[in-house]
Amino acid sequence: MNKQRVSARFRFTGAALLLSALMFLVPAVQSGDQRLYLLAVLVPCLMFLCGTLLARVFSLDRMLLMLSLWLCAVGIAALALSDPEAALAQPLRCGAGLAALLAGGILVRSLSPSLLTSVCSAFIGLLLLAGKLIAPSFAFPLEQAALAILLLSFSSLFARQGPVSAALMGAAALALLLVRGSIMEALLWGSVLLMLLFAADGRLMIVLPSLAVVLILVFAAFRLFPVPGAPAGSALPDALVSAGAFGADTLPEVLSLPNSESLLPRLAGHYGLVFTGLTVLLFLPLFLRGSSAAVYARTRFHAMLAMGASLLLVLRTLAALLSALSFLPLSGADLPLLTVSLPDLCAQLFLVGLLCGISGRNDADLAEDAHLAMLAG
Amino acid sequence: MKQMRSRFRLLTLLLACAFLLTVVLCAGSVLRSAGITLASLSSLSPLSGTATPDSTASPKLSPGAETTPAPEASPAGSGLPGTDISPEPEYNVFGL
Repeated sequence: MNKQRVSARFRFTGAALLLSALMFLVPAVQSGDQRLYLLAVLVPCLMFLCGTLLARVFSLDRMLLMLSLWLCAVGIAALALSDPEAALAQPLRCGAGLAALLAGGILVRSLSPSLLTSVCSAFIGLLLLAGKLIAPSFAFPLEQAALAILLLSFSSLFARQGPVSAALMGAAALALLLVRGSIMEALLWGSVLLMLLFAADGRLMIVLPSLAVVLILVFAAFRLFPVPGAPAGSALPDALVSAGAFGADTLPEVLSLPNSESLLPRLAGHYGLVFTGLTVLLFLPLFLRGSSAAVYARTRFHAMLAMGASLLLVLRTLAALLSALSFLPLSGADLPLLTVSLPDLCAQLFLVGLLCGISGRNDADLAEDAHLAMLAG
Repeated sequence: MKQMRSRFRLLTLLLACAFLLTVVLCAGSVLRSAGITLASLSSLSPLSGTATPDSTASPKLSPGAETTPAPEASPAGSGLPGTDISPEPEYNVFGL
């Protein structure tokens, strides 16, 4: 059985590496660009090294790691054809993101739901959100990093103190996000809060007041701060159609939005709608693996942390798809891991790192149980 | 913990269904922008991806096909070697 698992894992890794090499090699042969040849060698090698070494040395979940590395490689490929210089800088961003992933994986194994964890993470998260209000010239986008840290605090508070203190901290973060004008982040955070409160507690006297608070805050924010519409969203379906099922030789101008941090339009423009659709579908196994780590976690803290991280990733994916095609009248959501924004990429890979660490911890607990059962038997 | 795990499973199921529904919705929106509807999909011929003679992309697929339009383009060019312009090979709309 172990040999079968190893061979299946080997085939999966080999297929991912081969596809990532072809993703750069075919355009390199077509265009003759030396930088694409460099990426065709660099990206699969780094994927192989990171996917095997990191998983083995730090006991991280291999499937989550490979899925994340593959999505990072797709992000690099989306830039490679139209902007090779930016494509050479993207691996550096992904490298920084992988450092955040490692930090998440190591942190989650050493953290426990203590008062120190709750207070420190709540303080750091709320400070990052309030930073823009204290110093308006501070324009660094740190909402996603703040939400990742606040998730730690929420899970720790819930596991140690109970749902009320966790809900109060969550409501404070929600209010700060709404005052900042980050409506999309506020909606995502509010949805994750409500789902976690429902799943972990389930009592109507906790869930209903929390729902009421979230609705009142969001309603007040919409009244006080009018939401700007999504400017490029309305033209995006037509632009995506112009790219065709298998991509266009030259990127349509409407897809090469210079100030956009999302790589989804570029990916669709170069590689077509079929490849883009298959890439988007990869977020589903990512979410399923994360939620399975939550279900099999031994402690309430790790279970809520894993579920919260999975919910943040999957809800962001849904929001990105719906807002890209104008089903949501909001802008500002990018697909996770398919972005050029360094803080957002690091925050998202930090969440994946939390999931990898919790899943690795679950496997270690199972192995220990099997060892104990063998000793007892 | 057991109740929490069962609620987690419920949330997972709901969100997985929502995800697939969203993907279908987005695919439908893109296809609608392309003018493709369910009715047109059911009436599509199966060989629409290959180079068919009545495709609107280009009729020029072989030099032999030039004999008909050539007299209209260059009436005096039927015997002149300089006007024998070999047609560029045309690709189908998918660039394959």
